[in-house]
Amino acid sequence: MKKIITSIFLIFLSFNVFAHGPSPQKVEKSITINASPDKVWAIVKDFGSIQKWEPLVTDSKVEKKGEDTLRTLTLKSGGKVIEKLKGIDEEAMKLKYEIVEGAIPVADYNSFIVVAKGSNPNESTVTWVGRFYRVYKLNPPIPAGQDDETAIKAVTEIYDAGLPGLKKLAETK
Amino acid sequence: MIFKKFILLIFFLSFSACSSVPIAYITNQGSNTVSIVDIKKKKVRQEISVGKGPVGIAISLKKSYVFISNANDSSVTVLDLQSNKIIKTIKVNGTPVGITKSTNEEYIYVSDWYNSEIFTIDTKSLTVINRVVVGKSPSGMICDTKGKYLFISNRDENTVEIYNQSDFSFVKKIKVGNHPYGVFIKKDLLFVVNVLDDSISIINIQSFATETIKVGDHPYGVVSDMNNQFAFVTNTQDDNVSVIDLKTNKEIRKIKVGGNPEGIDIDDKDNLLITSNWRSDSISVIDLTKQEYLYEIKTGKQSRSFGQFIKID
Repeated sequence: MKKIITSIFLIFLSFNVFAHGPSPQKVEKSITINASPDKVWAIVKDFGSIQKWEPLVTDSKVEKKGEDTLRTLTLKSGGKVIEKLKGIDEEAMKLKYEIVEGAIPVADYNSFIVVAKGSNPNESTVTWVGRFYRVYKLNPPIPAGQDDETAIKAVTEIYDAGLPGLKKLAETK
Repeated sequence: MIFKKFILLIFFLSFSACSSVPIAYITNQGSNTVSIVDIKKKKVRQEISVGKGPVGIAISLKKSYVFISNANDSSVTVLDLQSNKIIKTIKVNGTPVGITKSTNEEYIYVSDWYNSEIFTIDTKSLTVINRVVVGKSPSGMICDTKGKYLFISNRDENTVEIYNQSDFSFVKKIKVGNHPYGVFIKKDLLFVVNVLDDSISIINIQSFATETIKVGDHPYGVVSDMNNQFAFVTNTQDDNVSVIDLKTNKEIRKIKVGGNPEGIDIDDKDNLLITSNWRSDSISVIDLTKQEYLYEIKTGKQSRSFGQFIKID
């Protein structure tokens, strides 16, 4: 009986996955890389190859759906995430994407990665910014694992693992 | 000598008539404060602690109050406009997000996103005197200048609802785009942003005819100028403002602003347009007629200012 109630609750939750709480959360991380902006940008804009530098992603499959470009990531922790490419701005060296659905405990996640010139031609600064909401949309009490802290922690872990990974790849390649 | 004094007096009077002091009240979700910003002096006069997760703002010049909706602790902060001191914190249930004044400024309407209700706060007693269940996830609200209607955008059912201000009786429900949020009214035109459609709807409030115009990524706020020549829309995920020509109903320009612009307000008198920028913790100031970016002023963390947030003398 308890299982049935739990699964009904889960079904109900999954229907509400796109609704969210009223306060967006932010994670913003930067790293300095000893490689030219062109070189770093070439790695960043390759939407289907994030697994080459993000240690928390083990696999990435890109597919076209109509006009949309989507990637399905397999996470090191086991789950999958579907992400949509929202734009590649060559001039600004900025890649925009969003999470469509998946195992990361966030809702309405929008993000960009931007490459900027460093203090010399062989230096770049990469900034990764995410704006998202917690999973649970209703009033407190908020179930464990669906609160703001959980959402912020999950995104922070991805950025904190990925940026050094990107640095390593760009500097050794 | 007398003549000289007279000239000086004339000069002084004309000078003071031109120099109004527009002040922006900026809600900072991340620091739980409101920044009071002197726009022309490019200076934050004061930063005041309010409730948790402040979002919406409504200014009543008549009653000399500023009302702030605090989404994360179910309260509305009342600030005195003269002293800039908190005079009351009104506890409300639920999650207050949108906030606006009635045309006569006797009431403040607050939208409760989770419980899908509108609270009415009496601006004399500063208490909640009425609650009405409306459509799903009410967010943006605005009243017309004639004192007839209150307009509400219901985010999770893609509608705009209209109520009579006099008795809160239901008038009409209109389908708009996906996830309507910020609303604005000027003369006969009601403007609504559709966040997930990257568009705005413009509704004629006489005929209820609706037009849809494409804008940028995840629009949040919209305003239009005095004669409805141009509308301006904040595109939160593009870090810019779309300028819409209301003769042709087309976007003619994008003005670069700070990161994740959410709130937008207009000051026709001082020829200014202001956005509050969630990601860059700032406001951007735009020249209204030149449609050019002027400067940025740092505020508190995660500035939102949902609603009409400029106090114009």
